[in-house]
Amino acid sequence: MYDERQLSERCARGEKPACRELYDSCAGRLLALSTRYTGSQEAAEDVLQEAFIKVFSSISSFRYRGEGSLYAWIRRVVINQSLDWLRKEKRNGTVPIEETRTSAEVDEDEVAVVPEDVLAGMVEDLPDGYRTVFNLFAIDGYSHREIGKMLGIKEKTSSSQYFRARALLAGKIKEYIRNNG
Amino acid sequence: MDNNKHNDWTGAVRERLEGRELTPSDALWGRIGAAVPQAGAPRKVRRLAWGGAIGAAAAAALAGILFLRPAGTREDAGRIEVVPTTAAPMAEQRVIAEQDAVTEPAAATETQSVAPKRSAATIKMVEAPILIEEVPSNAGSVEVTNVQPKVEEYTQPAVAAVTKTDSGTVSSMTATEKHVDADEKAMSLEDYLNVEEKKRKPGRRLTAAVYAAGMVSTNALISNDLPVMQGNYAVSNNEKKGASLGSSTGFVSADSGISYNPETPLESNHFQYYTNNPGPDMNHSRPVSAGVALSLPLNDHLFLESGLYYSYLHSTSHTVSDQSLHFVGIPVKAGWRMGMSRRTSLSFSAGAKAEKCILALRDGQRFKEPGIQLAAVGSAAFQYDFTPHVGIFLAPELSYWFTKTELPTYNTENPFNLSLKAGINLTVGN
Repeated sequence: MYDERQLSERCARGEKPACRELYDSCAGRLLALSTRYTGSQEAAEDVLQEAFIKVFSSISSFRYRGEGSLYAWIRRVVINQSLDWLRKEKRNGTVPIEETRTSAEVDEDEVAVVPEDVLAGMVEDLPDGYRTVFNLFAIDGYSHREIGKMLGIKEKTSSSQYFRARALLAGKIKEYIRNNG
Repeated sequence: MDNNKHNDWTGAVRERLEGRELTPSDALWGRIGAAVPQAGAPRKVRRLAWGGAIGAAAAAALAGILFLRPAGTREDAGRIEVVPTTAAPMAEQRVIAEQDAVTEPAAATETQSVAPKRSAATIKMVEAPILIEEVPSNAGSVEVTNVQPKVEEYTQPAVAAVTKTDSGTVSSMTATEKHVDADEKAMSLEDYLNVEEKKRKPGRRLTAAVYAAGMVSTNALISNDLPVMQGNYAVSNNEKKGASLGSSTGFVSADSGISYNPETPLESNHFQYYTNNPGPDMNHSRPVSAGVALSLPLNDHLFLESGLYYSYLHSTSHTVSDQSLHFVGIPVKAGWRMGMSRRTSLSFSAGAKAEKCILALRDGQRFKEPGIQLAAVGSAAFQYDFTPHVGIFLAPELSYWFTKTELPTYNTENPFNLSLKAGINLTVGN
């Protein structure tokens, strides 16, 4: 188990082995995270590349606040970078409500039936706007107020997009269970 | 509860996907490693903040020097003045020279032995010739006195008169002693009334202040929402409204099952998400600020005060490593000042302040905070004057924020707070 404080200090001094150690320790998780946002692993690798370059060039400004704070900081950079990518690709638009009127709901047990990769694929296949809000709110723990600020949309828009994303995902889970149950 | 089931399944999705890992391609590190710089550059904003702080400190020091300088150069006939220590040797020489003229040669060395005991300031006789007279004293002794013992109000302790006796002992009386003496024995009724008047009416003098302020309290003043220095970023305006139906503990009251947003009932999912999962607490550091204020007297007691200040609000959470908001604000207050003694005064003021966020950053990403934040303020200030122009003050200030930034900050979570200001007051005029 690496010590985040020492690792960040060594990275700040420009020690490449330390940078590599840091990369190895979290690249897998961060790639999955970025893939959730971008919807493709190829795009996620591009995002991750930019994010890590940012991390290493500004790691001297990182302030250690206990174990886990370095990863949380890098994770945040990756999320920002993913949102930037979506913005540049003009894929952060919201989805018209009429297109996705559904009221499907599932429960925890039904979610447990779906394999992890399939579940991740379902999230990645959500329309860009839904996927972004769902990831930010349901998985990464941001509030609708924060999401509104991050995406430049209204708080209410964020909550309605989330509701629709949730319903759409529930529908996909139901469908999977129907076809594979 | 059925609603809970609905909420829980998104939690299950989160648990499944949060720790998921994918294997990056081998080429990825190669591309990153090639671009890794030798060392990171310090953040621009931090440099800006330090630059601002150093600038403010330099401005305060410069202003202090400008106001203090006249005390050392003013030359009034017949006055004993305080001069900087660099001038001390010359002043000492002059005193000694005068003494040499009237004392025996041996006395000079004895007088010199007194000089090193002087404090950082010494005496300089300015302009008017010092009248030295030889006064026959007790058998065989010679007494040297300054016949114009007029003492400036804020004179530092220094030798004002030297007495040489036959026995070889040298005694001295300090200017402060003379000052006290003048206060106690020679104060005329008119002088006495002047002092009393000064206590009663602090006077119409323009005052500039340079200060720094820090928060000393939080919303604990008016509620028991959350522990000191801790808010929760999940609690938005709407959430607080809903939460207040259940209990005064805002965030936690979600367990009561009250849907906080009737317009979109499923928003309660959000509520539940955060209540079932303690979620990301946001820690808000105490805001710090620094500024300048100008106080304009309307009469002997009433004054108007305004100025400019800079304020820095910093927060962190598990999702946001570093959130910093930089504000510039203008306070406008009216107040009442009263003298407590010749050197101390007390003032009370109330008014409002408006501030604008000039920079909002979250982990390096810039956010817009377009609104202007408004607060009501009330403060009490205790001031101590070192000189007629320079004093220090300590002022507790109570603020209530009517408006909120969209990003959660210390002020959005604690609209009612108490801060403590400390600074230097520079007064113009008599």
